Amino acid sequence: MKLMSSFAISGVVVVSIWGLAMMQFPLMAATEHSDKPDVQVEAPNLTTKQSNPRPNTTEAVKGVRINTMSISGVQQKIAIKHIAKLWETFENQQALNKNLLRYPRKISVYYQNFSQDYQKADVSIGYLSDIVRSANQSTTIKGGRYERVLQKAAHSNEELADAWKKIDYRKNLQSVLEIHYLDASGHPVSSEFMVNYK
Amino acid sequence: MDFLTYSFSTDDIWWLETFIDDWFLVIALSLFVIELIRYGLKKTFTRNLLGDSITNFITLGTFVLIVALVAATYAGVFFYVYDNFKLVELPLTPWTILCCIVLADLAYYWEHRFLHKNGFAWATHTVHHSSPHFNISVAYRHGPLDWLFPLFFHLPLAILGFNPFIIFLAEVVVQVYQTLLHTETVKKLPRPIEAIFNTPSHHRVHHATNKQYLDKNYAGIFIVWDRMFGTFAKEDVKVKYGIYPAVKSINPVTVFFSGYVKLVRQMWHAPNWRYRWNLLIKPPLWAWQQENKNK
Ligand SMILES: [Zn+2]
Ligand SMILES: [Zn+2]
Repeated sequence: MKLMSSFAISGVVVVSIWGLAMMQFPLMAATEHSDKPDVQVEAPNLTTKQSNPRPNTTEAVKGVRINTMSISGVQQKIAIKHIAKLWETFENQQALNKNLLRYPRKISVYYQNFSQDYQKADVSIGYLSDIVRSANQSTTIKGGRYERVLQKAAHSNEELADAWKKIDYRKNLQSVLEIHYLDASGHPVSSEFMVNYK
Repeated sequence: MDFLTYSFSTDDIWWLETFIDDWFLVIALSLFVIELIRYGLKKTFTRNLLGDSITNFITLGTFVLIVALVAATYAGVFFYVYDNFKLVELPLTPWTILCCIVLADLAYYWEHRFLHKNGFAWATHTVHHSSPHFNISVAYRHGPLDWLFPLFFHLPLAILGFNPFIIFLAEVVVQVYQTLLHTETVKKLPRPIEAIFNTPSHHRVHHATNKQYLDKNYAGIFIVWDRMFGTFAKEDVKVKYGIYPAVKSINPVTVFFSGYVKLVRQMWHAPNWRYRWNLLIKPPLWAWQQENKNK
């Protein structure tokens, strides 16, 4: 009986200490919000839509300024519809994950050098280089004015795929930037989709 | 309090662990030299003590070799469980490390109590207890299966979401703390410390053959576990070290395998299979009582 009550007390201790350890999750989420944002929102810019007014468009296109930054991970010329393969390669980068200086808050996907038919591009998937120790495979994301196609929110894969259809291909497409935001345990919680025209 | 949630990389944790491991051996060896000088001054330095100490370091060397052989598998089991069965993923922060050390210490308490209450496990742990002396070198006196039992008691930490690197670090911290307790040089520490933490005084009791001290003070770092679970005893009368019956040998091979050689012999002479099963499962005290009954 004495042994049983000792086991019970141990159980209570384990749950309490575990709870103390897990208290960090909300705390970390709080510091994430206080992080300086890399993206600064400009005033809504509707001029691009004026030439082609669509009455049923509810999503206002916003111009955003993106600072030049560098990401580390994987890069490949690939058909955009095969992007899942590159994600797989990225997720299997053991060495990259071992070299993380701290838990990543976001994963960036950068598309550039599109083929004539826009079916292929140079795609990079990675973490911000400043949280990766000895980053070698890095891509520079050119700063400048981007148009936001999908607001930062939880989007399904279908919505992300649909975002490609909202791109104005008559304009000279320079690059596409997709950012996936992660929670403290590394699971994606929200994403946004932005386009940069030449 | 910001530093408590600063995120480490697994490399940092690994570095910290090997740092503690390496430097601690240097510190322990220098403490041992001080103890030897003390024995010399008190004129209690004997040939048996010298032989016993050398044997302790030989068992350590053998143990380190065995650990080197099983280390990859041991770590592999932790990573497999962590990758497949973790409930959450705790961040690599000092706060997580602190929580893990407390829980690893509780796991150590139960593991240690199990080692004393199970015939098969006692056969390896008896080696640590078999020295009639008590100094830092005794801390390094290991049995052949000393690496096996921590596995089962610490594995649940991986399910709770502690990164295996943090678990290994916590195990090392508890082990290192435990090592420092093996000394007669420190009598008693201030009351509040003796109340919360395991101390040389408390651990001397654990190594005793005195009847009132048997199966007491299993703690690693925090003596509060023993106080909570009713296995605490205070050091008041002088401690007689060792096990009963004594091994009476300073031959490293005899000492290292003493527990299992004895267990195999008992199994061989056992009257039936039920008795054999009990030898493996029941506390060593049971076997001793049976043998005395038959005499
Ligand atoms: Zn013990
Ligand atoms: Zn001990």
